[in-house]
Amino acid sequence: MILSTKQVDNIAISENLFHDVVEEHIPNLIHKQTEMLNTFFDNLTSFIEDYLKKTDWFYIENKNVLYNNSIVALFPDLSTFPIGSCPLNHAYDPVTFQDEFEEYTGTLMTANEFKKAFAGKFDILYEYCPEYLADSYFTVMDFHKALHADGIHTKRWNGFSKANSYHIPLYRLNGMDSETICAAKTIYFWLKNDLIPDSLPEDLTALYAHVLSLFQANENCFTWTGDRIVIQEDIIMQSVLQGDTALITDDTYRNSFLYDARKKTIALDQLSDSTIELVKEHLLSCDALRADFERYDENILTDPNRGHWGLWQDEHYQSPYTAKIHTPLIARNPAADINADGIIGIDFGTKSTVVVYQDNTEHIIPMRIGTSHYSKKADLKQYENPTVMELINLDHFMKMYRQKDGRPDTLWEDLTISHSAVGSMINSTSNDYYAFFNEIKQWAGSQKKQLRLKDKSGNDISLPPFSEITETDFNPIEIYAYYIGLYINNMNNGIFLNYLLSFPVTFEQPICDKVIESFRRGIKKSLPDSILHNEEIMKHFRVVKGISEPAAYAICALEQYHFDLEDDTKEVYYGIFDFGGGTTDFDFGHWHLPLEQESRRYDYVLECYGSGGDQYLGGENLLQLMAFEVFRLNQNKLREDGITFSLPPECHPFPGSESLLSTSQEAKLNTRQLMEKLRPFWEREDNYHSLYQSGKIVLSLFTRSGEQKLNYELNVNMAILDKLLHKRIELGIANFFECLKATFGDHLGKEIHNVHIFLAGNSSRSAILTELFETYMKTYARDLQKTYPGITDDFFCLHPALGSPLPNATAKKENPISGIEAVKKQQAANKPQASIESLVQSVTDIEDLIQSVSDTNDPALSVLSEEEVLSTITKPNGKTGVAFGLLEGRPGGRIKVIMPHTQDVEKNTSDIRFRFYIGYKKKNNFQMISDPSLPYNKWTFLCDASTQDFAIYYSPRSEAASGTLSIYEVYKKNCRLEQAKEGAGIYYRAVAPDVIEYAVISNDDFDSEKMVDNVTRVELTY
Amino acid sequence: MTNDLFQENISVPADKTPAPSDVLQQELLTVKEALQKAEKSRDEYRSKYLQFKAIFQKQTHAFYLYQHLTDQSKEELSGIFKGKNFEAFLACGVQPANIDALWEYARQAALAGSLEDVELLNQIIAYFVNLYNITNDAPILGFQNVSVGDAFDVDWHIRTQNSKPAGTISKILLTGLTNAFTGEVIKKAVIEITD
Repeated sequence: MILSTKQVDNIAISENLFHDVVEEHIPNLIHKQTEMLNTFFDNLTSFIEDYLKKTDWFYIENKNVLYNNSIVALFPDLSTFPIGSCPLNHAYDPVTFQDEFEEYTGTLMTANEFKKAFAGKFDILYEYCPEYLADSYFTVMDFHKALHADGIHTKRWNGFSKANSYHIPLYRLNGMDSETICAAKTIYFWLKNDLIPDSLPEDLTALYAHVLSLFQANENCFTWTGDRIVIQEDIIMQSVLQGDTALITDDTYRNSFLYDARKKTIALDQLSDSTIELVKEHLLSCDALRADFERYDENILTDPNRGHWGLWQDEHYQSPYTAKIHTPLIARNPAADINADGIIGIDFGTKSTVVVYQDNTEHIIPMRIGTSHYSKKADLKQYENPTVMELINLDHFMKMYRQKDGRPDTLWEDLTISHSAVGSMINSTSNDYYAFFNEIKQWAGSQKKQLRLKDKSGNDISLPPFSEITETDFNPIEIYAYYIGLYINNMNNGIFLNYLLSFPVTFEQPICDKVIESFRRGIKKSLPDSILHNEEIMKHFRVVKGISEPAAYAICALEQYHFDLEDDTKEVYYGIFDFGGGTTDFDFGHWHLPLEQESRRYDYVLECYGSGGDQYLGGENLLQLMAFEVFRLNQNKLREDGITFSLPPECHPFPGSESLLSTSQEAKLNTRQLMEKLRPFWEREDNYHSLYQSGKIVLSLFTRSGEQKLNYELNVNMAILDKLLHKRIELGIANFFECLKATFGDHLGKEIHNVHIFLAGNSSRSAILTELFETYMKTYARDLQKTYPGITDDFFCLHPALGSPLPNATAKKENPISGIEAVKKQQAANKPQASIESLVQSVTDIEDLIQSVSDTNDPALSVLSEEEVLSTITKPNGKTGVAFGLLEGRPGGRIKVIMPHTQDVEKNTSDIRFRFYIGYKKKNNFQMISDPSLPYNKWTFLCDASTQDFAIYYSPRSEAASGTLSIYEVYKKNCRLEQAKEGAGIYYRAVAPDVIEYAVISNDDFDSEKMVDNVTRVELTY
Repeated sequence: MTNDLFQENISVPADKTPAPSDVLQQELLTVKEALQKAEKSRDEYRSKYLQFKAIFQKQTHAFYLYQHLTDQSKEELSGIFKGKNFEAFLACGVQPANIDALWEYARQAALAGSLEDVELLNQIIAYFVNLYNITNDAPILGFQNVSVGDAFDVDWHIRTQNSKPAGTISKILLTGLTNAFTGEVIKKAVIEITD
């Protein structure tokens, strides 16, 4: 059984916290110690002054020498020292001088020194001095005479006296003939020379020893001014931090700071109350600092049923920094919070990421990862996490990120994501343009894309293509996954070990694998160390690839629309039109019951026949197109004012655009600003007309030189923009149906009697889309009838995105009202208004005003709308449906998913099919030679090799198969042979989703594939 | 008057000419009458001025603030305030579309760091919001309740680019606006976080 909480009084702390605590705790300790030391020195000084009134002599017990304060010198213990001597009736013989005593090499005294130290004081020295010396002569540096013990009488050398003169050595501490020093200086000399007098009172002895060790660690700890010893607190602090010094203390603070050099740990003992508050604050704010979570309440540290992960010591890991607290706190074992049966489904999207989870039931619940402020009322927006990153101080962030294996002390203030990053991005200036990274998924999906970023601290970051990122590089996907991991794994939600990730159909396997690995590393970083270092637990940790995004959505939509195959309908042929922020993906397949032998394991089978897409049909790209159109409309004014903008994909430069189009940060920011201004038009917000009906909009734009033009006016034409949207979406829908025809092929009209089309993605709420689909469904049905007479007019059924209101009778079942638009309807009076005018518009007349006020006051209505909001959140919608379907279609689930076979001729080629239609130009139209079903490595004839130069035309659009696609709507690659060759042909083959090779092959030797010319590799970009 | 006096004096026979002191006295009286009349007029004008001021002080103050914006700001706001006079200022500023545009301009200025005008714009916007509200039976627009020391919330505030991404508000640059009925934030306050 796992112990979930325990009391702890010895806690591991991070290095940062340690330094904070030290800065808080140690100065206090040192100051307290300083006060004690000052008292000690005062007492010692008083003692010395009193002592000196009796005698100048101290016995130094640790050196076995005598110290004389009047001349500041050391002498041997004369009672045991073999004092040298020679008779006075001869000359002084230096050989007789014993100068070595203990560790010192002495010298002879001067006459003054003898008089000050010894004259008349032999009686005081009786313990350390033989009696005979009291009446003897002594050798001094004046070699004419020796001095008597009384200091008065002398005898000449080489005289008549037969008495001996004794040579007492001294070791000077303060120079020759030193003046008597004050008590403070006496202490200083004792400390400097490591002298411990034996006459100290007992209460001062222990402290003296500690002060001595302090001094020896760093002599500069003390100095003296006048007659006082001054303690240098800052130097002591430095010594302590370097682990060179143990603080001296009384019982309360003894060993307060322990440095164990062997274990390399530093422990703080018995923290003071103010320091404990600092530690607590750090614990309670740990996730606030890390990911802008709300600060935890204090009870988490004291409630025995709660507890804090940060207090739980990892058995496998010794923290270098620990602290002892006198009131125990409650540690929580992260292992106790593992949701063993939990599964997480992550839809990592172009524009935003959605997470859903199952715990130990079949309920799939969206997780609130778009906010870390759980006390706020639940709102739809909080269930999506925008895939945007704001780089503030990347160096510091990565430094902290790499410091620990789990839950590193990174700072939100160094790098943010989600709505905070989006808000900052929308309000940014051109200087900070590259501090925002909002194409994370697109960068991953593009194998060649490298980027330059620049954080707000000014650091330049060169981001290589995702496929070249190493484990030690800054990997935005890993960091983004780390934050997603923090939103999933925390002390509110618990810990999950099982993750499924969805992928678009256009991602090749190596890219998928790398994204999985990045997510794995990032999510692991969000787990506590004690979990990461537990091998048994980590055996259950996995991040794996789930089914494709459109397949996942298909599962969810088919279930939500109650295609349970219980009635007469035993199978459903479907098409998914996933109209997202960046791209549109198509998927086609077959939903049916399993074979009898598989019915125990599976309820349904989803068989994916094929997929396709429109790379630039996405909400954001449409906004770019509209922005480009508006800029083009205002080109004269922009040219005059030096305002530039960027060229979106699929757009072409126009005459006069040389000075207008740019790749600068100003140009990109201008495009972004205008996109935001046009967003209400695209998203058809309530009363959007009012924003554009004047034909003018104002926004902030930047000139080429970076100067900001506030309130810059641009003309807009709603009709033109509408037409643009219609045209582009129409193209996408045409592509969809072409792809549908190509995928289902001859099955149409035979086994397939009906195709259900499901709209998905945030952009599929567009009314234009629905309107165009309904038109095209009829058109294509009639078109198919020419080939397959069995097809009826209602061959296609359209289903709006999950969560949208039911548009018409073609939907199979009632769809409960939910989704953004439903909330808009229900909360019309309460909906946040983006503009004042739209708010005013909604309450223009008195009746509306009164009604809106009374609606607000009606509690029954309020309660109802809140419930419906919650219902909207918990049910899958056009965006969250992928994540829901991901879990439903997981391995081991009740739905068998069959993906399309690879089309490789050889085994080791790509797992996704070739992207393009290849063809040639014929009278300004594109004539298809091969479509994306072309197997890899299969040579196909392009044209003859009679000229050196030739062109390869290609397009990803399905309508390229029709033969009527204008040549101006396709891409071209100009190629050149080394030399033209008669009788040979140019052949090409697909080798990767966007790579072909061509070669010249002799027509005669085609079967043997004899290469006349080298094989040339060509990358097809678009 | 002086001329009249002079002429009167000339026509009077010498033996009937009034004494100099009487003439001066008369002159004094006339001047005093004129002075009283002038003072009365002055008081009337002053009273009217004070009445005018009491009625139009706010408006004139708002216009005064507008006139103290930098020339560049005034030029950039020419799309909102068409005309240069006081009437045009009021007529344009009270329209909800223009209040919106003015607020957006102030937001951009605050984020661009043009702080000298932001404070003035804050006051001008407050004036027009209040003015607009009194044209309706109930206020439609309200002011966001934000204080220094409040925790930053991305749903309610816009932080400047040099602000920390989280923390407590240290300065409010531009007041936000709300739906007066529901309290929903329409325009988020622009704030700074330095702690």
